[in-house]
Amino acid sequence: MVKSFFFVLFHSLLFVNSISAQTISAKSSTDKNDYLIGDYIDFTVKIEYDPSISIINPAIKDSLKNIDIIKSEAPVKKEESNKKVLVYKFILSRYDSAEVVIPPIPIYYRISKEGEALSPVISDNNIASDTTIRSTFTNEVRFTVHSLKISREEEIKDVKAPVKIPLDWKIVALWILAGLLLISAVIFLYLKWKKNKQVTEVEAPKIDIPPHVAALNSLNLLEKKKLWQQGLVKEYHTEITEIIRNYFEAAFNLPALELSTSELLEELSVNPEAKKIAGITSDFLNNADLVKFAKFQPINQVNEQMMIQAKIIIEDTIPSGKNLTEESGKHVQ
Amino acid sequence: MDISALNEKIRNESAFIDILMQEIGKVIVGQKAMVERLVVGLLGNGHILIEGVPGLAKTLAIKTLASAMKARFQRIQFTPDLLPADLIGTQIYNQREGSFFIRKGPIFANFILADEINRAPAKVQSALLEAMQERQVTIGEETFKLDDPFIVLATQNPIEQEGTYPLPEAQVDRFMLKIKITYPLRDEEQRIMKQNVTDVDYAVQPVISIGEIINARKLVREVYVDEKIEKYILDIVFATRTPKDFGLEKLSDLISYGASPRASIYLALAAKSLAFIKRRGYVIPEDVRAICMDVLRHRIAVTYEAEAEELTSEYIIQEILNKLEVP
Repeated sequence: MVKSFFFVLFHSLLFVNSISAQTISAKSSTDKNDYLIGDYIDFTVKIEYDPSISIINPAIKDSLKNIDIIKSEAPVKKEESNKKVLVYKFILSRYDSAEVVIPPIPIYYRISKEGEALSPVISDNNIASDTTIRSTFTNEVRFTVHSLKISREEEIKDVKAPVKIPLDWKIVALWILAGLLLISAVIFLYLKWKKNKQVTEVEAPKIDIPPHVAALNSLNLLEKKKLWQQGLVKEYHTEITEIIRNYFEAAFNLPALELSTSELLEELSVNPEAKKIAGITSDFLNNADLVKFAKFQPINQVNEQMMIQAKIIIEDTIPSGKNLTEESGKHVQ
Repeated sequence: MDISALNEKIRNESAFIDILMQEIGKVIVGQKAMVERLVVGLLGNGHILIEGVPGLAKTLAIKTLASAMKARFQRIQFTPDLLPADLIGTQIYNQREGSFFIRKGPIFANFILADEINRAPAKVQSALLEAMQERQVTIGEETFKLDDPFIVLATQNPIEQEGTYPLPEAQVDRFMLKIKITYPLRDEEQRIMKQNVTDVDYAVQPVISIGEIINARKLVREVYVDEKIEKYILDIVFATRTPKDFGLEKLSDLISYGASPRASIYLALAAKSLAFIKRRGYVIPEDVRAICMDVLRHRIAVTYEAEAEELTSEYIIQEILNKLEVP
């Protein structure tokens, strides 16, 4: 205490001239004098000064020893009855019981003079300043931080049970409402999807054309194209073999498009339904291979014969009871 | 040349194939596919790697093929202590004349049987495979061209892998075909047994000359390959690289890397050779499909995932062949 007093006295004497000319006051305070450990302590430093004074940013935190600074707010500047006011606010705390003393905090400032440049100070106007640094001090602040009072006479109590938060029926109702809305949305979307699916099914029914009908239709189309008559012999043989291979795939469930001629003939020779056409198919495919891969130029009769052979292959393998001229196919539900 | 004329010419010129097959058939019972592929390599001027368990007449087949031709044959047993000089030859100092002379190695022959190639270390394999590619060897400062035809027929054993040096993928790629041979059929084995326990001599006589082989090779190059077949070959090879593009998504994770352009070249050449053997002047899809497995099986590297599922390159090739449309 005595040390603090001498410290203030020394500084006051040092800057005695300046004090006499301009007015500045600094005051520090807390919201209470008595705190429980861990409580937040509101600490405020308020500086009132003449407009001609420029305050040098005070190092308040340096004076706050043995105490934790929880938060420091930005300084607030305002004007009150021709005086400028600068307020610093801090939230402090302490986690041990003690008698706490915050010593006087030095506030340094300059007094303005015309024609001088501004130094790095807190100033609201552009008035030139004196280079002499002066100071003033806040008052000393004292407060007590105490711990919980322990009563040795009372019995030791058990740990408190968890607090039961009462059910908020408004929130429950809100959740139920949201759930119902969600379920309704799902049902609505499902019904819409189902309806669309039914519409699509109705719009595009699957038509199952018997393989022999599809193959004969394709052969008729090929005939109408008159490929070999236009000199496109290789294309004609390629297409006609492709039609027959596709027919074998559909009729006998063979991967005919992925098999070579000899492999396909081998498969046909062991298939009870296709055995009878193995011979004619062999001639048909081998002739086509010659045209396709060996630049063989067949005479017109060979080309015509290919179409006849293709039709025989199909007609000879139509399952019994099926109509050869059946072209429309049937609808599948 | 007109295709019918070419067809006729090939029909006449390829007659020796039947004689050659008959001669080989005197000694080799069964293994028709292997013998046919040996001839494919011979006509396609490509080297062949044969893989099979011991006792399947790998060595005998090659020896018989060489004996059936009036050609020089050398057998080299690959061992861990073999040196490149033992293979290609070396310079020897002549004390009397005070100079070096070159002693050529066994590689200077028409047919080289590299028996158990994976038993020799990498430097010897590398010397052989370099000779296979360049068809010449350098001893000291001199470079020597190898004989024509020059064919390496290498064998390797899939079992007893301890102490072996597996051929690197880049070097295996130089073999035109990798043939896998399996056990003979029951009646074939009975014939083999009978043949080997009697005193009858089944000596093979040379039935064709080197000139005939060289002439046949020229004809093989003339065999017609249609654009559709070329496209089919390319589809197969590209499907090993980008299976997704061919609707084979399930193979993407199984292939580490696909076949190289060398595969396309060899597949076309092998298909031509096979067409020649079948006495045709043009290639048909059957030829490509028949030889595809032997050309590609050593050019596709499978991933660890495939290995874990015990899926081989053969499975991949079969899937590709099953999926691609035949022209």
